[in-house]
Amino acid sequence: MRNLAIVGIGITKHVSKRRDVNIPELVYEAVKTALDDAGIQPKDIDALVTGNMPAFEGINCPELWGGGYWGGYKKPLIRITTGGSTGASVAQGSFYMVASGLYDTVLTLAFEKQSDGNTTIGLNSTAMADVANMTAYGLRGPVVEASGAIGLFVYQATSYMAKSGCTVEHIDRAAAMLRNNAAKNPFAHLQQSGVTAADIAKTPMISYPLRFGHTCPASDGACAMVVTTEEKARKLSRKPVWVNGWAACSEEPAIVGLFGAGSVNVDPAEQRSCKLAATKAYSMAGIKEPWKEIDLAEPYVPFAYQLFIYFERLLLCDEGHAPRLFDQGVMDLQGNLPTCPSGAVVSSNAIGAAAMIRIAECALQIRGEAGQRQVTKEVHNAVAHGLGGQANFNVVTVLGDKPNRR
Amino acid sequence: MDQIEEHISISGKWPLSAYTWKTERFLDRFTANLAKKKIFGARCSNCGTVFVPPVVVCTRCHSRMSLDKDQDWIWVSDMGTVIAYSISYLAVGDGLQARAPEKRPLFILVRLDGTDTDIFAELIDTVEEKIKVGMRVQVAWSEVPKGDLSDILFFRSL
Repeated sequence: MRNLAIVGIGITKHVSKRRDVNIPELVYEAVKTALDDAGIQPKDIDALVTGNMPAFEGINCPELWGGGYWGGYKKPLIRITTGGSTGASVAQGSFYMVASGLYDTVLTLAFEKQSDGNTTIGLNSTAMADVANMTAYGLRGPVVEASGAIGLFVYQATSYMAKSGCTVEHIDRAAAMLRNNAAKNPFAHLQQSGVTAADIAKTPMISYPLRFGHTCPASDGACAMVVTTEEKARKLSRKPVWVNGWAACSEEPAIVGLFGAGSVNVDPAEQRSCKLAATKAYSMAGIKEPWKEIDLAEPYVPFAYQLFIYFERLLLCDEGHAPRLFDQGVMDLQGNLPTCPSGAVVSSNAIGAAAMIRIAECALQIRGEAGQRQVTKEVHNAVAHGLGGQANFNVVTVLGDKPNRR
Repeated sequence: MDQIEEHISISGKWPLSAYTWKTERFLDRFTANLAKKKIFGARCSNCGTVFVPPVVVCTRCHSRMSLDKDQDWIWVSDMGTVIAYSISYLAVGDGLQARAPEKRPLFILVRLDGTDTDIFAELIDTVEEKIKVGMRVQVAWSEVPKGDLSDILFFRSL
């Protein structure tokens, strides 16, 4: 297997509505930035991997529409979609292509233009086959309502809180930190500099324990990266970011639709698949003690409490300890293991792009090019995470400032 | 550079009602027993995992169950333990509306005793302050169960 590196990064400024562009044009912005960053042209690209949420904008095969705008003319192109983790899965698709020796330079891109779409129909299109059948067998009313969107994650939250001692006040403080980090990130959607935990605590409760202030917005945004071989990376980039380990793991769905027809439901806070994916990715990257060797983490955090649960499930501390470490300042920009300096998915959520941006943000931090959100600590190794499916699909990527000699 | 003008918007519909999906027939046997206030689970004869509601293929060990025979069915308790919960503060309807505190529904994820799956339900006859992970609950059967999934949608605390 060949070494590979990220040599080009493009992230668009996330907003709630980009009325001035359509989907191909929005993605073009990220692609152009990534190609310029790598100093290459579309002719230098050997293949493309794309992805977004299926049906969220009412378009399947969006690459038929946008492929030409993204430099895909006469190139191999595949689309990958895995729910919330789509962006990370798309990126990993490009890693497989380069590592295998099949292609040298691959453009990987992911996007969502939520303002063009209909999230309810999009979500229904993923859950309907399950829910419709159960409805035919008498499932009804408020229980159906309670499972939608945020309804899925409140159960992970209360189960995690019971296991860890995490309180709603912890979640308020986590949200405040993430909002302030986002205010230092020019690509972030929500810009709420100076917001405090007390401000967050004043936002209305949606479903206990989650308030509006703990949740993500719906964004328009795109991300693209250029991934290439060690040989080409050294020619193209002064600071290639090495993709040293990656893994994905699927487990039995945690809270699928209703009653989980066709599957075992597991405790949504358990997240074995995250621990398994992390273990494999660290091992591939030659990292033996992640809590010591990882300098920065970008877990997938669309709801603020997930800062804690995924810090733990990425094996960065013992289970149940994350809220305490957070209170000690470990996850701050100046901390010992800064976490989500980008402001996290909770501050910008273009769904398909969100998990790729976790990888891109880690890469920018390793390059020392994260501007105001650059962490104090020197970043040698970083871990990025994506969460998808029905909270049952975890994707973990380990990046470094040096290639891991395998 | 001049500000780019807003794009033209073209609207369309993607009606999910145009599709059809299939479901397993053996759910009939499961729901028919609910009418007798009994809960039937499917037990994988290979690994022992118990599913409520039943499934055809065990997602733990990938064996196919033979639910046309009695051997892979097992009676399970109507009592269970709360794995996770939520309290719904906002009503989704015509916009979001705050519910009066006494009208906030309590939703739970329950693991019935003797099963390996969690099901969703609403917890009734319980005050908000008492709900917690690990609490014991039991199906609140109606006097005359209908013989469908709505029979096990409501639980009360023990």
